[in-house]
Amino acid sequence: VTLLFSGTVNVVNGNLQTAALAVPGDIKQPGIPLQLRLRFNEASFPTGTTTINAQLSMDGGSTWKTASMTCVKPSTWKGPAPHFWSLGFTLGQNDNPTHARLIVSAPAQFNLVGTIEAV
Amino acid sequence: VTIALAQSITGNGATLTLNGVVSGALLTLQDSFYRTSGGAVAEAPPTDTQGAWSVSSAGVPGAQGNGNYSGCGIFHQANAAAGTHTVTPQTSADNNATLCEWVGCKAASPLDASASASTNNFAGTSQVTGTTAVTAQNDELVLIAFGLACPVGVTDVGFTDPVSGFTTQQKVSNDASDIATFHAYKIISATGTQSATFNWTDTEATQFCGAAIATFKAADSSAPIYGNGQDATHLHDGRRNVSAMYSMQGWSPVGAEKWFADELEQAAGTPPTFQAAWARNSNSIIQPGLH
Repeated sequence: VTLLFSGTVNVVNGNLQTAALAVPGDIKQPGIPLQLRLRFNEASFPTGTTTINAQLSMDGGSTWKTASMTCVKPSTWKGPAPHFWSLGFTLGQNDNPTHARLIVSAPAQFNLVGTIEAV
Repeated sequence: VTIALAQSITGNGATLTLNGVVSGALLTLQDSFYRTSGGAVAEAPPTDTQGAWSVSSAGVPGAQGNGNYSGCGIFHQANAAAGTHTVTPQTSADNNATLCEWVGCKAASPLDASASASTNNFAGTSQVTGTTAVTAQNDELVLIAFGLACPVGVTDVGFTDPVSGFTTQQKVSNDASDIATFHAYKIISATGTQSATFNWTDTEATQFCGAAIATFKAADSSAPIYGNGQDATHLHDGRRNVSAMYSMQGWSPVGAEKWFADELEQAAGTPPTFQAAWARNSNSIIQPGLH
């Protein structure tokens, strides 16, 4: 597991696009897909629908493949907080991502708290 | 034809979106859920912005005994349209989903065998999926799913990972503030019954869970059933590739296009006159009935 990002990001005006985060070349195993794994604390999310887009590039950031998920607040959860929105994105086993990126679209400004990992 | 995973998403959002899906792909969704209303009924298929989904395997979930249920479902969409698919699993109190795009599976009726099982209110540490009938083909994709809940729960139920013989797609071990989830797959190369057992170490009382398994057929191999071999082929879903047949050297009988349009799907009854014309003009081997 390689931690690409951990901490808090201010999602100004509800929109965020991170810089391209380099995926270290030594963590991709031949024949095993690399997974981008995102995990964010739902407590800080604004009311309404927030869309999280996970992107992977295989050409140094020139082109991107995208997976996305909508997070609706308020939402029901099992058990006590903290609760997390989690999103994983995996390409084929022979694909070799070089960079990862996160794009967030929310109804209002908020502080995004969480981690982005390459597994 | 080799089955391969093209891309997948795991997540617990209201919707999951795959972009750049190729035409004809098989989409699958494994969903583990915790439900506080709705009763002891199987999960319904998800909705999609493109195309309809079918149940692959979805059994009655496990029950806590006070109206709470936990289980899972496996769903598929065959011959998917190209482009973007935004998929919405059935609403529940909590869920974890795995959405995949597969290439190399049959475009028409890919689902072969399935089974499901669940357990109510127990302190056990394993759950079987149930055992499928013998698979129809050597080469098939096998998906399994599991959802486990408990009123209090623990932060790590201690899953055995991987499930023997399978590749893990998503594992969530926390059933205190989440639903314990396990999704996995394997690609088989021999016929037989299929089953799997999920194991964990938490012995807490009043657990309830459900498991499911489903198998999907690989597309037919490109057998050279006609022609000199250089262009003879099948489409990915097993139907004859008319374009390739037209391009075969030395064969262009008048009216062939209309004949194929009318008769392609009833090829078992290849007219003898046409069969003879083919043989005269192409030095080909015809095997009526193979399509």
